[in-house]
Amino acid sequence: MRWYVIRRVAWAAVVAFVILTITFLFLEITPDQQVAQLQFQAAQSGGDPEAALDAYEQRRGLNQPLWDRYTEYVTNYVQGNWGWSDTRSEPVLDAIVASLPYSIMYSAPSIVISTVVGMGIGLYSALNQYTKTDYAATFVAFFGISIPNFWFGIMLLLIFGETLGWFPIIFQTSIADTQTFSLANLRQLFLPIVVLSTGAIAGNMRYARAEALEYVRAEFVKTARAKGATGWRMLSRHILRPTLVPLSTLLVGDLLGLLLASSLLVEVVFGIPGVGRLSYDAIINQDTDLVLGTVFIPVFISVVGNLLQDIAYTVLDPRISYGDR
Amino acid sequence: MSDPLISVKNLHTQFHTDDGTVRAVDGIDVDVSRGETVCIVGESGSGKTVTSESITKILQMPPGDIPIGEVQFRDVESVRELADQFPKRVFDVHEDDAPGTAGTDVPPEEDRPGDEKHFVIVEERSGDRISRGYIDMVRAPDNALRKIRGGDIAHIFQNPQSALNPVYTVGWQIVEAVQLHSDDDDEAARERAIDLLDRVGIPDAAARFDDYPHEFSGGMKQRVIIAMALASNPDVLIADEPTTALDVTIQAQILDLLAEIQEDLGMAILFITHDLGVVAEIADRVVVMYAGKVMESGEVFDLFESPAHPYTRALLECLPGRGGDMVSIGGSLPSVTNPPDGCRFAPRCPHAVDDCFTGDQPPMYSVEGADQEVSCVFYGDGYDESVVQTEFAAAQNRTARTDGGRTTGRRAGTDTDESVRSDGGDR
Amino acid sequence: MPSGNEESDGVRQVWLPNRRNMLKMLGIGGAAALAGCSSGDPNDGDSTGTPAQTEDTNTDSTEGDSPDTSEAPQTTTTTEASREVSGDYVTGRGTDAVSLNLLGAAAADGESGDRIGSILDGAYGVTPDLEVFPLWADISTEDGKTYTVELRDNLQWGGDYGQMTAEDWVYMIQEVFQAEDNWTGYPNQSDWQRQDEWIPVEQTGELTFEIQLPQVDPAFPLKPVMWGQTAMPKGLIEKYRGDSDGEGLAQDEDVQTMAYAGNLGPYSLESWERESQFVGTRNEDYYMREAENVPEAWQGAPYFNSYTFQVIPEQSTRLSALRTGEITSTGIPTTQVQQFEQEESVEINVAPQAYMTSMIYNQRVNGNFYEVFRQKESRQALARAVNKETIANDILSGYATIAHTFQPKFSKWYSDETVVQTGVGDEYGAELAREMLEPTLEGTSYSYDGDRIVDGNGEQVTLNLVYAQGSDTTEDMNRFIAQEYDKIGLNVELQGLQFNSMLENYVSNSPSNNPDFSGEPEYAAGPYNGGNRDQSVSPEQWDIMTGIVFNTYPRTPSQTRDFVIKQGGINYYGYEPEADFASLYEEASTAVDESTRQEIYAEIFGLESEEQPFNFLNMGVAIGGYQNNVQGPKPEFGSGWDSNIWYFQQG
Repeated sequence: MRWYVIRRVAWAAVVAFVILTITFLFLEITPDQQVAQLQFQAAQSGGDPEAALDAYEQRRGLNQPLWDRYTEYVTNYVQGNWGWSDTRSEPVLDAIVASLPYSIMYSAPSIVISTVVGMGIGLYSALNQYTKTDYAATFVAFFGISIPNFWFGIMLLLIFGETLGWFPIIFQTSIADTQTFSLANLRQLFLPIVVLSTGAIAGNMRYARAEALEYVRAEFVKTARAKGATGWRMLSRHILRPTLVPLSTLLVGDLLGLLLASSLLVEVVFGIPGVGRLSYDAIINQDTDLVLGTVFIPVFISVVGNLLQDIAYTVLDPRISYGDR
Repeated sequence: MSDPLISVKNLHTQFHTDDGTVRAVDGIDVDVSRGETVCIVGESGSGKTVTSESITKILQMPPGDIPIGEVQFRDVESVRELADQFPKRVFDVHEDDAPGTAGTDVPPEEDRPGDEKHFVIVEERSGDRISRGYIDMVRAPDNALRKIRGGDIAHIFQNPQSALNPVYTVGWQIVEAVQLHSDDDDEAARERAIDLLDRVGIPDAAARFDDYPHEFSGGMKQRVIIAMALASNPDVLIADEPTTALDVTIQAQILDLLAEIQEDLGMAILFITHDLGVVAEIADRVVVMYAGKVMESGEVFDLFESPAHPYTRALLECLPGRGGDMVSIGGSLPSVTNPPDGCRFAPRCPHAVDDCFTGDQPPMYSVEGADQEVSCVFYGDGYDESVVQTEFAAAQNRTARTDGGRTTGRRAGTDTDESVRSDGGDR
Repeated sequence: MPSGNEESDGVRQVWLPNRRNMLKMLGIGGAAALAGCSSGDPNDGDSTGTPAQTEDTNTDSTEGDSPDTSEAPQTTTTTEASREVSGDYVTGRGTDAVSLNLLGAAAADGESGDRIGSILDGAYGVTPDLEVFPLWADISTEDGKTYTVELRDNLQWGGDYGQMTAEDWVYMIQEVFQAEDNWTGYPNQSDWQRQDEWIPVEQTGELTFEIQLPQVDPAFPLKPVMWGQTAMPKGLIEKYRGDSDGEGLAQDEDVQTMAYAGNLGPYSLESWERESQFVGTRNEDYYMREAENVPEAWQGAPYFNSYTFQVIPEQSTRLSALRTGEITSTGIPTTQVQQFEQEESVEINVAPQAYMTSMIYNQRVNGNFYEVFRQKESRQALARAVNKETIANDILSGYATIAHTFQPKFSKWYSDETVVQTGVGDEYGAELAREMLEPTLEGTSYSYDGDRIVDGNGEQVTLNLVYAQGSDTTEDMNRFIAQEYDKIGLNVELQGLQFNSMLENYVSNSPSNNPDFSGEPEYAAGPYNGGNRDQSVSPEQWDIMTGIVFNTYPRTPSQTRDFVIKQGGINYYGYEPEADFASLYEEASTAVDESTRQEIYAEIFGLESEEQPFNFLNMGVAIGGYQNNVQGPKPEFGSGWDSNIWYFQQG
């Protein structure tokens, strides 16, 4: 087992590296939008567009040959120097570390909520298929997933934030930093969490329901029933446990999400300076170093996540053996 | 004891589907006495499995439903226990306490006051103690049934591959069965489980305790399942085609095992099968079902020697090695949602006469000189039973159409188009 | 957002020095007459040459307030000693600053500039009346060629960088702005050049230095060269100069935290949480307190305990925050103004801007209709086809001023007498336009067939209108234009694009895009004017363009020259004037006498309204929403120049 894990982790590093290289190349190929703007400005004011272009390239370090830039960046990465973000004026690592907590603050609770609630409803629906409660739960879940997040967020802000005044409009990072677990912080995180949870519950619910349904009718559940097991016991021991095997793919994904998830739309609407905006702005502004940094972490972690998932599988389902992989 | 341990009375089990209400079991009576082996025989779709599942109500309800009928479970210990646990749901047939007062029959359902709530029926008491009574399984609530399931009445099923939960060890699953009906702690339960594994013939039981189901062969799995069923020394074991999915040699071993256990524990077995060979081997009594109704029932030797019902005859003739060439019964099963009037088998019976197509299924007539009952008009008054006591195949051929299609003059009411072979195969 | 100009607001103006002013600078002379002296000065107002303001062109997102500190002396406001320091000012912005490195990236980014401006005042400001308001320094000249900059004596850098002296400035100018290798990536190096030569700068005293222009340029102080220019201490720059380590400088902690700011600005940088908040707290040591000869209001400045830039990317959230009072001010789009007028707690301030929205005709050879567009008479006809009033009053809800030439009406260089009005009143109408247009089509391959214009093959003419996607009003306006043109028989198809894409594929042009041309181009004036209009074309075909907004430089109109001369660097549409604009502009910028200049410019803009190089539609406004206790915003061009002395009304 140990070797297996080590091999997989090493593989994860390789995959991450490959993806980084590809991202780097993509960034190279993409035409830079800011250049056109800058040149136009210069021309308009009677300046020299060429000089403006040169200044820009030089500032961004773009006038070095491709290979030099590439090798420089690789060595830096390995050493833990992830570069300097031009658009944030701070080291890339700082930028990521600074924005990550804000993302976690709203995404972790919403993932927990949507997973627990979603799966709970899903299991319940599986056992009580086609009852009114089943239909109601399905309706609510689909409502949540159909509503566009950003519109929902804006609506909630207008109604509960502006009209009713229950929640603040602006996200105050100072509160988030110093009073992370306080009521004040909860107040400003409440609406973003609600928006994200409602969207995710439906997915979890349907998936859990579908998987559980497969097992509800299973023979071994009948055996358990014949043994005299209670409904609750059947649910938790006999249905949930095997259901977890396929569900684990979702769960591990969710757990990773606890670390990494962020929703750009939610962050834009609520003004939260999280990882979503960081990544997006980096790409739009072609802040190469930052893009690479924000790509690297999720890639690496999701590769590791795949590994964790595989391990979870082998633990949860004794029929699966990892030996011959 | 004179009272049978399980008494199924006029059981009707239905399933409500989009296509209509399927009447899987349409009014049957079955008795199982202590220590005896009763086999329910029939082809696929006859309702035998549903019957077995109705006894402990482990079928899916909804869409399943038992609108009419009673299933009497007469284990006095259980009756007393449940009477204590559910005092409000006890119905005393007699108001007075005269000890030893016997035998007044339980009034029919309609006359019982508020009978929906009562499921513990007390027929006799000696003093305060109940000496005779039964539990009506149909009306019992789930939390009462839970005690009986596994504790008094155990099940084993047809497909050992899927009957065990793949993510738990066999040991865990047996321990679960033990602990559901006893106060054994984990150690004691484990001991008992290993014991059981040993009892059912699993070699190296202690080591195998921690193995997962997929690490056992089919036959071994079935043994494990039997071990699980025996965990609480049940009074009855309901076995639904447990050997059908196994090969013949294993089949024989399992049957031997069951016989052994039955002797040791004095356990009754209700054995569902379509395999007459198995029936011959283990049954004390046989119940032949067709299309949700009982065609014939009786003592095994009598039934095999002189089958009373044409259907039984046909089945026996279908056995390879007995009778002449392979015979199949022409025609097909009647509609499950809209069964025809009269005898269910009539459309396929070569002896059928007009009376066979009217009214209800004929009542169970006794057969002279044998411990048998049969539902056939020819055994009633004014008919000559010897007519049907002839070879089925021959009779069938005589009345066959010249073009080899369906036999003529039969009532519509069949809705499937396959001819049925009664030599086994999948249910 | 159309155009690429960012705003760092503030009007700058040259002030011909006279003895009195010099004395004032040195702290001698009466403090009286402070209020009146600047405005009434007979010598004032040689305000040629506006700084090439890069302004935020999308009127929808312009912030009405501008905390930029380069302001001119108050004209008529009585200095109220009754202002109290109170409250925290929060301005809502859509984007964050890019950097605080004013020698590099920040110099071209408006949001960065605004933030820096709250921490550092800059050399001097300019009032709406185009007068220089000394902040760190005063600027003066005797001959309009050599300018003397004199620093105050109480300016202290933070950290150990000591006092701000002329040496700091000269070093910075020569080693950064005029560095051959441009090691810091300063985008405005061309500001410090004249005719491809670096402008000589020389230190003449502890606190003085000279800028020696090769030619007379009375408008120099109003140009964004010294106007509002901030600085860094020599001690900091020279750490990295030796190695030309621009990156090192950008990443230096003192640069990032502006530790060198000392007493040089109204607020001290407390924290910058990226993409969230930039917070400045009131600077107790603000040099203005000790400064002499400043209006009284400035001596107590600033009047907020803190000044915060709050980044709220989503517009509706921003406006919501304004309504609940969580932010003090933000820009309001034209579509929302009516709603806000109902809000009791919010006041709207509408300040005219100098950005013009126009319809550009493609006169280069890859257009479909260039033959016609090249004719002055045709363009004059077309100008009557589009109703400017509808655009300004209906589509833009009245938040725009109709334009007829390349200057705003409020500019002192604009004269009603010379400017020809088009597209309004009697000078508007489909009939009128068609009447004027039809005769001009003779000699071209186009003609009227019934009421549609057809080309040489008898095919109906279809024009391709490209525009930069932005707000709803942009879409509406373009559809309206298409409708108007339809009435005179021209089909118009709309094509919306990202601004950058438009710049790249439709604005930039070069002879290499022209398959019919090879050989040496006649001239090359940059990527946006790669040659004459028969040679250099854009990569993609287009006929009409909207969505690019031009700065009309009301303070330094000489900078509008490049739009209307054949080899102008910004003349991407291929216009060749009939009038001799080149000479006229030359005359104007070298004329010493103000009234002469005014005459010449009036003539220039009059001619432009006749020539119609493109269709001038309207000038935008900046609409700002403020909590109603904010005192300071004014509905005038350049509002916000004095934001350092804004305050909250008490009670």
